[in-house]
Amino acid sequence: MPHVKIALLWCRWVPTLMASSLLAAAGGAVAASPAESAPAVRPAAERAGVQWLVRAHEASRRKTYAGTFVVLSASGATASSRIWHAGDGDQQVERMDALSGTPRTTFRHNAQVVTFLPESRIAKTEQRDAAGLFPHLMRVGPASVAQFYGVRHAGAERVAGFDTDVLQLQPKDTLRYGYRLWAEKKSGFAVQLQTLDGDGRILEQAAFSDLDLDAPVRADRLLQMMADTTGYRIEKAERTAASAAEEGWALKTPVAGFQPMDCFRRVPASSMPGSMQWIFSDGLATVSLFIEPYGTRPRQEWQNAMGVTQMLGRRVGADWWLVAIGEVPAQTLKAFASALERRR
Amino acid sequence: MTTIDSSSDAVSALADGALHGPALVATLDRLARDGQAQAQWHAYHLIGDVLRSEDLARSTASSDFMDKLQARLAQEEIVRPVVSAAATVVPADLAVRPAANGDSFRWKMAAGFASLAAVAAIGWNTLAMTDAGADGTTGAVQARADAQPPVMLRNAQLDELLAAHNQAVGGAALQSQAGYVRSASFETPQPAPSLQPQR
Repeated sequence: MPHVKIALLWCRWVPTLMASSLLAAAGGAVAASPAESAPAVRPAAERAGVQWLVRAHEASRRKTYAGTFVVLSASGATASSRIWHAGDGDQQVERMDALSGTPRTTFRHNAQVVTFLPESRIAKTEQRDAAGLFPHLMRVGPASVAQFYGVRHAGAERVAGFDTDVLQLQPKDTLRYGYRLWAEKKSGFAVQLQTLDGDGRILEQAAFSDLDLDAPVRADRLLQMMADTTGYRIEKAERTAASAAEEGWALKTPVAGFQPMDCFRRVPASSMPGSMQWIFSDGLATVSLFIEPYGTRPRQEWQNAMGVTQMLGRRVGADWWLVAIGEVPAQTLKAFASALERRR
Repeated sequence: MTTIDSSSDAVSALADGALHGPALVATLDRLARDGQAQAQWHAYHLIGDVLRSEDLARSTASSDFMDKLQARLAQEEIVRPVVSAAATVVPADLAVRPAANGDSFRWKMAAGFASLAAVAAIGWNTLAMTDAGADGTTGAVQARADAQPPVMLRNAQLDELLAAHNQAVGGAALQSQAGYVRSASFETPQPAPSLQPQR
């Protein structure tokens, strides 16, 4: 599909708006509707597969909005926050106030994140790698995502006061979860997202309980608040880019659909020893492999889940300890653990 | 162990804001006069402040201690409620038994519950009002009424890794915000309001 490939290359280097148009145009060529020359507004029926996801992803980055966001887990746990987001071309500024749990306000300006913890008067700063609805979608590439997920339009619903298209994202194997996405009809903005297991059971639902699209959010005001750290002690999460191969790690066999994204050497703010973090994604889901030396004390292997996030800890190689975390089925984490190989 | 007497009960109830009417008046009188009651009053508030304070209530358990605790707990037999295969907890004992820092975690959960329940109720109600979609399924998260979800024991190290994982998951809407929201603020799992998927 040469048209789609060319469009993908453009996506990396061309401003987002243009990229979406190119993709839509490419899709038009593939779908054999030669009369289509204005790709900006496409009838729902013509919009095929993964293009829905790209559209939703772009809308999440470029729209300006405010709302209340609630995450509900099948375990019964809930968490919620108030969100303000200002999108301006490729710039994004956002603020998120936790409405539950430890009081916490997080500001993000593109890749820079500052989290204020008023109770302990600590401001944590860190880099955020990617943003948007599916942060690794464009790096992995829509073509690869289409290989592992089937995307189909599954009707229309009204959610949080918006008319939305319902999209069913069906995994093509058991190494990943499925999703159901409610995308606002006009913009594609994702109002609700469910994560589903192999039996179609809902593991987690993340949704806006109220949403004001195109709210008057002032980016400059948010940036001012973000920069004001008076009275707070700043903790910087240090990390440096690394290469898994140079660190001596590789996967014997790749885990289908998952591509390596980034690798970091972590120096935590606390006094704990750092480890290597190797990040994989299949475009929708992300897995982190944390590897550190085993140490002298015996450790016990463990496996646990927190909502939709699976985790495990186990020994790898002779002298290393792995903690794998990801929004994927436990067997996928086990596949990573088995495939991980020490090459030095 | 000191014997529990009704007067110290009353001071405790007063600290919780649970006294009204004549009992309230009588206890306030006693507090004004009785040095021992005042000492008790002071102690309750000090305890509360410590528990509420992240800095003070943080456990100083070394990872050494945690490993030994995990090993010990694994040896003990615990009656566990049935958990579905999708969320195998090994070792589940950790989740059921409180650890040294369990109290501060649970205190925070208790404190946050009321506001959570309100937000959850709003969230549920809003979502429940959606029309049935083409598949006949709507936004109903089907809580497993049978399984009592284990309290997740999170030590500081795991929190650090979860935070790093969420850095990777990303920043803006929905899925990555869910990551933010998931890792730091899951409270005591409560039985979700009954909301059956509309079929």
